[in-house]
Amino acid sequence: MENDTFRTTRRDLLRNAAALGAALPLGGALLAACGSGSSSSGSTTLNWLTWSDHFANDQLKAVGSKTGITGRPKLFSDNADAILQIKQLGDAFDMVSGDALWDVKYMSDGLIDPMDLGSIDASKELYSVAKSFDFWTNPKGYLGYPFSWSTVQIYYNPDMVKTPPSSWQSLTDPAYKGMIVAENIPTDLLAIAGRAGGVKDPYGMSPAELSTASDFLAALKPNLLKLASQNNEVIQLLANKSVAIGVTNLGSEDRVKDAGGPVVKAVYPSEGTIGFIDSEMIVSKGKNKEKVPQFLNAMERSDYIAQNFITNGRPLFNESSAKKLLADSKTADRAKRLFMDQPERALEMTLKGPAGDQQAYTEAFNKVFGA
Amino acid sequence: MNTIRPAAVPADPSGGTSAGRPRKRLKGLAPFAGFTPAAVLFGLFFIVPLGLILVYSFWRTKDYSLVHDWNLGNYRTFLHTRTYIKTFLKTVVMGVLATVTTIALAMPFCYWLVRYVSKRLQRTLLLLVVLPFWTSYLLRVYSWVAILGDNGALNTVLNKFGVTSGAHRYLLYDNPGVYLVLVYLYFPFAVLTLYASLERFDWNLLRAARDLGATPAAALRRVVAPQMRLSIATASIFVFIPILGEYLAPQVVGGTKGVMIGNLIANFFAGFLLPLGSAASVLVALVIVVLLVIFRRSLDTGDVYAA
Repeated sequence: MENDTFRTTRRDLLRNAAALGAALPLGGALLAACGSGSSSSGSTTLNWLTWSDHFANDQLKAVGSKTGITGRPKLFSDNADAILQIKQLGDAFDMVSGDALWDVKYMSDGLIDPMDLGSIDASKELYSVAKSFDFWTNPKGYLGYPFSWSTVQIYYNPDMVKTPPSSWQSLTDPAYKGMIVAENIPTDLLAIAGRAGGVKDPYGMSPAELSTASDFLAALKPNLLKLASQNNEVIQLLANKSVAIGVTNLGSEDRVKDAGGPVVKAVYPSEGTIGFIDSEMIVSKGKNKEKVPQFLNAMERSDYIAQNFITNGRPLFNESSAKKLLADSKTADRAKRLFMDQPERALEMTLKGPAGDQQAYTEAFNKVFGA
Repeated sequence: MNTIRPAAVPADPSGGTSAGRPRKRLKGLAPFAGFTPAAVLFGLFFIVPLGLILVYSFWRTKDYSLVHDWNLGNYRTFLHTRTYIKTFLKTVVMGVLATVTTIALAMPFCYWLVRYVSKRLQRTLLLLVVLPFWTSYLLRVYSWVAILGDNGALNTVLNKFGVTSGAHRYLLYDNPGVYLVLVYLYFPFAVLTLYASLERFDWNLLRAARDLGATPAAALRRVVAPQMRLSIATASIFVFIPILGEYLAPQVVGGTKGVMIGNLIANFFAGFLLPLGSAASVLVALVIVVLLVIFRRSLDTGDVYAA
């Protein structure tokens, strides 16, 4: 009798274990189903690979209730990281944000669908220059919806620095030991190093130029306290005075102040600099990609963009929001100072893009920043 | 009551009927039933990804695309690049130091807990040890920035007592900071493992050793230590192996000086160098396997008092 009971229990165990084993993939499938697409109530969720400064949670909520389309952002820091995710998990995303020449790379790799800007009513609010960038113009449409732009430059705390930096090269001065922070974006840091060495095409450096750029980074390394994983960490370190110098985007002086930090001053490096013009792109394999124009139409309205400028403090391409900001005495100074009314200046910098030889760039970076 | 087998059914050479064979085979599998969910999980979320990493490590990338061109180039690159080897060795040294320190701190703590603290208080103190697990790992690491940072808690206290004045940073953004945070992060793992072993220890053996003339140190070395070998080995595995793959702690508190191999691997992956990152990961995994094989001897519980 005892043996029979044991046999039954064992059978039950086997059955239950098999059921659990089968349930795991089913559970996974269920989770995947929850993670994408449209719900039975008619609302749609767009999976969006983006940066933290491209949206506000309130904005997403408001757009969701107005249009029935909710954006679900997933953050990334480096364009290389984003393109990797789109290549590997393309159908998991409907939209992706990208910088200037990266959009061209997305297009040439067949990862995005160009869009008809004219079909998006909100695009009427954009500066005309933003709707006619050569690098985004394609016979099939415009590669991305223009969003914001910024140079990458030097900010320093005058109370902590005796001799203000004036160039990229000046950042290697031993007087700045452990006083600098920059973002951990290998390709862009090497491009800056290329600029410091006077290279004309810092994203397409030859091995010799790359070697010189590596030497610059090696000289800079003792002065770098850390490489921040996100831009807001740069702001935070400047705000709490952990560092005296930050390599960061336009408008950082306001963001540092808003974070309760000290006055920091901007320096445009004498060798010139790199910068970004970023956009929102439609992912070719996106399950709900047809909803992206409608979503953008709601998201890119001047009120939201003006608020985004106030929060994140770098210029955006929405002309209507610029007019509002310039008309308001509270925001006019900041808008003017940060070139909200001069979108054409975006074309004066070296635009961010993929490296000519990504392996060489990443390896050169790791060789400098390894132990 | 016995069952009588019908005479018409020919006898199976193995002793069973052909119809009964599948059932018997199924019966043979029954003891493994409990392993099924673990096997599915292990297979899907460990073996398959590990296999993918292994496959990727033999490929290469060109212009942000994977090229399925089987070669050993990534392993050659890694093993011939001084910085990568140096970073890897530094990670191993950091892991060894942090593991030894963690166990050296956990051992006396557990000994004291088991021998001198009431059962009730033991539970409370153990709860305090595992309390950090109730918060997120990220938060536990970031909390050290708030403690050791320029305007952190430590600095505030020292300023208040007049020991220092102004903003000072302690250990942060350097190797000592990473070491400290790793010891803090993995201390509970060591405590739980060592406590479980010490709690079951028969302290009469220690008393007997003392009665037979052993000094306290000799009694600890020759009676307690052999019985603790298994748990020390287990604690070492629990602490050392995750440290080899640590990424977040060096990223948050290490600065540019505290980089470990996990950070370089993260850079490889972020820079689309999946094959090179995979090769580095496989090499780390290989070292772990070798260490586990070495530790396996310590996990043999046959005769704990063997010379």
